[in-house]
Amino acid sequence: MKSNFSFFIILAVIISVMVLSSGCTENTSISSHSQSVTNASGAALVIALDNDTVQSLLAGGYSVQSIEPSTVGINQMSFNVTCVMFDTPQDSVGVNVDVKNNSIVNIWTLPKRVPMPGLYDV
Amino acid sequence: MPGVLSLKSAGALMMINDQNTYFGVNTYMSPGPLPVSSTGTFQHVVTTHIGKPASSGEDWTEAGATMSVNDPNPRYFTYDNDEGGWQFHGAAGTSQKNYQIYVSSTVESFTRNGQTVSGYVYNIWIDNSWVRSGHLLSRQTGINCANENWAQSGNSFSSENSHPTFQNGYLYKSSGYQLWGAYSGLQSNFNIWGSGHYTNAMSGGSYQFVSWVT
Repeated sequence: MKSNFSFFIILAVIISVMVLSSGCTENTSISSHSQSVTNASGAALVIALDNDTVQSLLAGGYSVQSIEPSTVGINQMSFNVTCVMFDTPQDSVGVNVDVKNNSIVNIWTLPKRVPMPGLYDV
Repeated sequence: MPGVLSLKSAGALMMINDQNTYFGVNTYMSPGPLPVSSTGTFQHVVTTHIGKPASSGEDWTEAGATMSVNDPNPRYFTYDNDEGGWQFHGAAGTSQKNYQIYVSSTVESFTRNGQTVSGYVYNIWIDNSWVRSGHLLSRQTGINCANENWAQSGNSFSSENSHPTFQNGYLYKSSGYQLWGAYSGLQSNFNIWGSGHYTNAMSGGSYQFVSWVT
């Protein structure tokens, strides 16, 4: 379990470096705002993968679907977050991350159904 | 043999944080026209889920309205992930209907993933008509209301000119029920993904959860 955890962290750091490197080489005029968003994306992924609950939800395998600036509501208050979306065999998993405070605001899942009748290529 | 489409999603989700207190939900939902298009949203689902993960895997059921490009007729539906999958319950209109899912104290044996296990009987009503029963492993459960939009990669999501709305909801608990609103002791989270948006004004002591994608 400990080795799995270490593997997740190392993988996350490698992905973060790749994302950052890609952004720098493909567009040298990248704006500071875009750069900060990219930095936030890498950091958000690391924070998400470092969480025990997230690790348990991803234990059956996953892919990263998206990492985007977002908002989350807690009752009638709203907070800016970075939303990391994972795809697993059973669920879509959303992790709302407060990068500035190095914390997770909340985790939610949207369970997958089998395709409904008719939801096939024709 | 046709292949299953791989779809991306966008939407909004209202959920309670506490998965260990409430036995079900009673809410009013209008799905809107559920727009779908071969170049836009391929499948549209507006639904209420109840359930929570068990050690043996996901365990949930739901009730709502759906439409897809390959079946362009809005339908009421229910779904149970381990006991029967999809069921359809007639043509859905755009007007507001009552949806109730209640997990009773009755325990029965049922077959789940090939194993005989015990579960609490749940009942689902749509528009005050009973449409389905099944079992959940836990009586106290998680609850959420969602607007799910699914599209093929490369396509944009269809605009929702008339927005799905959940309102006048309340939550069943051991001693009656309580309104699903903003007050101390009940934390609700409002999540968006993709191009999802929402508003959550208070109306009559409960949230009026309006959501859409752009």
